[in-house]
Amino acid sequence: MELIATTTVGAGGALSIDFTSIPQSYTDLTLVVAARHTSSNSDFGILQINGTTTNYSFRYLIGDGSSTGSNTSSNIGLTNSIWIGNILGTSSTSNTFSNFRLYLPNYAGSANKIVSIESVNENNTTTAHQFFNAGLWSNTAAITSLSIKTYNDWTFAQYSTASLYGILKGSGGATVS
Amino acid sequence: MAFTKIVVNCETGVTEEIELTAEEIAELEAAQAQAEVDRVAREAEAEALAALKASAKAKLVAGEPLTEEEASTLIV
Amino acid sequence: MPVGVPAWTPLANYTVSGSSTTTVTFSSISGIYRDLVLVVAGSNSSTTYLGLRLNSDTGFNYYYNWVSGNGSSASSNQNSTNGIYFLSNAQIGTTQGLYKFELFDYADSNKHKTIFAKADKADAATDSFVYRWNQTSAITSIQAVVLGGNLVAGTTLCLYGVSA
Repeated sequence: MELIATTTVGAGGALSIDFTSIPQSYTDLTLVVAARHTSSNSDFGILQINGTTTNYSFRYLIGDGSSTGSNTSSNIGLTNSIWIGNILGTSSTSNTFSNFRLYLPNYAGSANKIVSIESVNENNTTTAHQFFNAGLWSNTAAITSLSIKTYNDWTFAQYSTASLYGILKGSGGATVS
Repeated sequence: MAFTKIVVNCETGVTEEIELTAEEIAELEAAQAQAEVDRVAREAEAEALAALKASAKAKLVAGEPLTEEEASTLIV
Repeated sequence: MPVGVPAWTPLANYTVSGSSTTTVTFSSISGIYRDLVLVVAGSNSSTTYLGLRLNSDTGFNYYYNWVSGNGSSASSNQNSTNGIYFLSNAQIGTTQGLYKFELFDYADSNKHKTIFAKADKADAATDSFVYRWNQTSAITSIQAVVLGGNLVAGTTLCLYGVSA
């Protein structure tokens, strides 16, 4: 695993965190995010690939400390992006951030693109979450850009971070029968 | 159609493709049957537990007494 | 971490070709890393169970608990079985799925082996299993197997070593 790029949101905040011109030389990608937004409203984060707003689907499992649930993108009416999990805002315990890990296998290949998401946050209240999501971008194009933002376009708070890593499988070696 | 197994030697990098024997095929079929038994049993247990929890919750809301089995599903 | 410093070392990989592969074994695994990660991405000719056998062990030495979300309900359970299988909703099938296995302290002779296995299939479920292989032997081979049909061409299996 090699670090491709990393960014930290400054004092002015950011509406989105984007990774563009992603090199096509790796096998898989993993994106690690720590985020908080500046609204008092609850919101969740979304992922869009190559700037597109179609052909997304997902199926998730969530626990919030008192209940568990599972649902699909079509049931909740979110089809223009992939839900990556809840992002804590200003009504949450101070200095607490939500953490996300996204794994995108074979991102430069010619099959539909899988996005595996794990998300956690804990802020000593009843609105903390663990969230697992199986996402799919039904598009055979190689992934060249990733964009993270909040569903309601809130601003990411200062000190939110995002790091993109490339994973290279190496050569396969000779095959004999 | 003959099924095959692939063996990748991590030390040398050499990969072999070998046809499965009848015994190996039989073992896979037995493992599949066992896995299906396991999955069905676990899902049945999970569904039964979910039903007990739902019943326990409904009774709590209605003020009705719970069975011991229902009470055991509650985590305090 | 400075840009360009690797933390995962690629050990071996295989991309399925043809239509006959049911098993991929990674053998002669070096014990110099702390953990292993096996990433399987792709599909199978039919819906079945994808799993791992460690060191050719097919005994009932694998103990697990799982959580699963299939899009309508969340469930959880535990038991033991004869391999590291996804015995729930996210079975490998004819559409794309990701199956990721993290094998912690795989070469530590003082420990039973913990495996965190996650399956993500957007049209089926997200499943999370934790397995304990009740052996202290170092893991030197990992057999990935589908219990029916065959792995579809283009499916990739990539093994990485993670250093402490």
